[in-house]
Amino acid sequence: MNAAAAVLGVLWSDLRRRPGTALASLSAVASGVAVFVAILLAGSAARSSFVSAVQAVAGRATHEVTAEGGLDETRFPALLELPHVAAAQPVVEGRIAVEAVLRGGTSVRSPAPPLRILGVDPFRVGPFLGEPGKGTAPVVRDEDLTEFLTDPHAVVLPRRWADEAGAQAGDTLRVAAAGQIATLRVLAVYELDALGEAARDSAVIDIAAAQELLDKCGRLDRVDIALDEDDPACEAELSAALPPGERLQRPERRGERVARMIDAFRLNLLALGGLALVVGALLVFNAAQFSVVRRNALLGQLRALGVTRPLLMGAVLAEVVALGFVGGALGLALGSLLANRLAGRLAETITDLYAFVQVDVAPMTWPAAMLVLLGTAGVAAAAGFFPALDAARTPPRMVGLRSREEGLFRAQLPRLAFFALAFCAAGVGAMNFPTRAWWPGLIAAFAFVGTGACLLPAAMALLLPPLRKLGERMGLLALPLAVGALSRSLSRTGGAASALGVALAMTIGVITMVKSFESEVRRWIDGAIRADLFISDVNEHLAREDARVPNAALRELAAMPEVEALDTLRKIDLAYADRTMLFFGVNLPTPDSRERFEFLSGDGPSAIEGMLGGEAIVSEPLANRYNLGVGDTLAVNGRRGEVTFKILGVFRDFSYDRGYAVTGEKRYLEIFGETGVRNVAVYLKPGVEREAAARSVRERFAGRYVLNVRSNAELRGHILDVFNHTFALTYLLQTIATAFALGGITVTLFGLFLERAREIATLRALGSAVSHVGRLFAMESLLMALFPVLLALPLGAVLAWILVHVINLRSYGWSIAYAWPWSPVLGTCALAVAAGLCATLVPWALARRQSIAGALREE
Amino acid sequence: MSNASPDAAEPLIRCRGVKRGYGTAPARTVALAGVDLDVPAGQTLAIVGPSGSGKSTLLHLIGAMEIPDEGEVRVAGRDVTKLADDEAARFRREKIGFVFQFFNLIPTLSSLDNVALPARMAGRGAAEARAKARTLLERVSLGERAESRPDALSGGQQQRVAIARALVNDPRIVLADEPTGALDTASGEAVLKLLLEIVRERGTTLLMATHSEQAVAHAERRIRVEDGRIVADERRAP
Repeated sequence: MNAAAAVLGVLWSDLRRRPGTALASLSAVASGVAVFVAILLAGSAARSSFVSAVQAVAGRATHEVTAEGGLDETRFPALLELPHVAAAQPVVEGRIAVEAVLRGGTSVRSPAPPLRILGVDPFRVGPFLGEPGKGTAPVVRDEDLTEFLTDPHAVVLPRRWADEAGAQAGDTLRVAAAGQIATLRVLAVYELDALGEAARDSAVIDIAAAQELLDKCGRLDRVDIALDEDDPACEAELSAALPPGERLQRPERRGERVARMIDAFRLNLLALGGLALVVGALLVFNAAQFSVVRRNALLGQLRALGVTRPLLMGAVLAEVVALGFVGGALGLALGSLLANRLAGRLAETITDLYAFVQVDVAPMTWPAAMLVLLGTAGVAAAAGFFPALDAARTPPRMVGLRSREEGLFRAQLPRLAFFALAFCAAGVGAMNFPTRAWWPGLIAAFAFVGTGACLLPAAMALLLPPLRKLGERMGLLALPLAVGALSRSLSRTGGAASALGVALAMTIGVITMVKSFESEVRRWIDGAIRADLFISDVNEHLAREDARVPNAALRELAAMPEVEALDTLRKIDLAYADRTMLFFGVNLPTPDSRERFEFLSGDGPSAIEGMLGGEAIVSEPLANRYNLGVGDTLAVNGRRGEVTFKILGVFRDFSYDRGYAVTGEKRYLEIFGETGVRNVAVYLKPGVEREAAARSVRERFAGRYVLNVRSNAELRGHILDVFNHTFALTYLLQTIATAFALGGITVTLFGLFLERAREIATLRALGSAVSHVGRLFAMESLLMALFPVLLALPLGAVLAWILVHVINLRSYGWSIAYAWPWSPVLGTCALAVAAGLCATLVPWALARRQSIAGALREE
Repeated sequence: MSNASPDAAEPLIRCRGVKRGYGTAPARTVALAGVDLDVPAGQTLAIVGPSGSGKSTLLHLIGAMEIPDEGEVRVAGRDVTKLADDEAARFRREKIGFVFQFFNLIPTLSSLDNVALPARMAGRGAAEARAKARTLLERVSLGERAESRPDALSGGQQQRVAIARALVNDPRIVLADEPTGALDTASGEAVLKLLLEIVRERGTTLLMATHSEQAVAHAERRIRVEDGRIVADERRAP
């Protein structure tokens, strides 16, 4: 024990004397952990926000009855009569935007946070109030009841929302719901314990008023049920008693399909965060390796003084693990800060793609933080294992030999080459793994990253000597010197170059995937966006399935003289397999509107005819996800039970990754009832100018409807905006990983300078001007960036191929043609080289200030 | 005691009232406390004294690697204390050759390229510089080791490469800081003999900080530095 403490003490004193390497390790660990933790926290917050929102107001309900497209309200009395139903309450709910809180005609907050509208029957809600195990607090007080029932605009607000929005009883809310402007009067404010924490943004309104407000007249979203005995037998009996199309489920399972899709999205991001950790681990390996090489003499002396191999290995490993802990703790703190910044973007992306979420990042729990710290220490230990092993193999001696020190690293090159081969084999194996799941693609990506990371130092060892010879032959002065410096410090430069190479390859892979995607989407837009104007609910992302283009607005549009035809679209979210899908009902009134589908299989014109006649066509993601094709049968649940469609065609689509099916409007209404028109494409008469028509519609609708009116060009721009928005998060994470890797290069170059201070001083003593030294540094950094670029180009191409043809296809179902975007790829490489050159500024500034005599004096 | 030659035309090296210290009070160390020194062209001068007496500092000041706190250092008619950084670099390239105790060869370059390096930095073409370097390596009896890296050479061989490097630009002055300090006696003697031979045949001025009695014995002039001052100056016939 004493010996271990003594050895650790010696290493610690050396670490304090030269803290650069330790700081490099710390920053590598901290940065990798920070990115990972930020994604973890922001992703968890998004998911829990969604789950708590969909489960709000479950209260004491044990079950609920639902149907695709909602329940007919006339079903409610019959449900009360079913076996084991002790209590039941009908519920209508939806999200609305609050444009302003008005007091005495004056706005006190505009806009206010969105509200969730909860329409309930006040005479039936009683048994369901209060969180289980807590007391019941009334939502609507007896003295407010009459007004609540008789005033269709009366609303009772939750305390937290009211406080945040500055609203109080007596105020008026101007809201946008189902595509229209409406006003609500604040009758009272209820305390949170009435409905539970999850209902913090749920405004309670009479159910009839909610149906009107949300354009759901005659329909219920669900019926909450309290069973007399909550056991599986009762549940089965009740379930069997329900007619086809109605479904009994536990409230906590509501939204789980969407949550599953959010989970898949989070996993994709976490994988990206994992790659940031890989970059961090490479930098730790790099720093640990350099530390062992640099302290070779010290380690040899310790061995000469009788320190055993296991003790030395343990001490070096303990040092790396300790750095991992400290770096992990720093990463946790940084990650928590970063998570808050990330959360907003993540919420926007998830809202675009899946469901409305608002994210408040909760601090990481202690057990989770400990888990991250242990994980970080584990990664650090793995990264430090081989360097520690090398430390243990140090022969006992009193003087360190420089050539031996680097020889130590060079001896590892065959080992690295072996690992590169092993990783490569693992990658090829994962690619050929017989499954349609996307995770083997991810494993393959990690394996090929490992291949590149191991290969680069070996490649540098092979390529640097001929490069030096070339420089000598060409009579260049700086090149042989720079090559020599890098070659001599391969233990350090190799790892840093690998880290940058991997980060660049990831960037190139993602850029290529996104650009391939983008060019495909642009081509798709040209075919799919054919109408002149497009009209949809402004709050589409907020309201989701409750978004509407009001019927009155449709009638006005149809009556406009400029309008030739309206292509209306009805849309419903359906449970399908273990996830959800969308089902569209369309009318395709013009020949042009029928051209907007680009069929990948099936005969286009006849498929369209058949679809309008009641069969279905499906989007590529749906077909790929569930292995559907032309001639197959698609079975989904309608309001009155299962219905089947014959699939007549598969078309290309990039609008919904979960996929959708399309049928004719008539069959849609038969199966799902009137779910409301979600958006409408307007075909104008020949000669009518699009922008002018759009202005005319906006003016006509102003103040009455809250609808987006976009011209063809505007919608195209909007789609590309959403596209870029979706990938902004990916770019952000990539940028962070690359910045950290460039930081690693800077630290390495800085370390190289410190290590060679005497050599630089010698050059200057021999008459080298500071500008010559600057050119030497520039050449070194150029090489330090060029080798990673050489790795990044092929590795990035491989990663892009995996992203496009494996992960993207299997995860989202989109088939994309691989397009190599030279310009942004070369731009990224040029940026890395430029950043590398900038990284020489600090060492160069130090060289300028360096005392030649002082540096020569130092041993 | 003044070591200057008051009447003569300006010598190759002239130091007047040179003071140099390191650190700040109260921990300030005085390396040179007012040195006057004239060295004529072609002279071989041994600077002796205990460690920390200021020998190396004096060489660094003459080589324009440091600037004195006070005083004037003139070399070949120029006040080297007034040179800008790039001018000082050029001055070192053209006028000075350095030989260090620990050789300070660039470990990644061959012997030939180490020797050719200052010539390349002075703007000579690669072929010309290498040809000159090869001649000098042959002169120091290392023509056959021209392609060897420093780590493949013994200490004595490395110092011979360093001597060749110091001479490649035909400097007027060679400054040698403990040139035999890292060598065994036999190697040290051989290196010293070679260095003196070469500088004499070329008429190069040699200033050599040393603890070696042999070096002192072979030099034409010996000055002793103690506590930053020249306390003895002895000349003898070559």
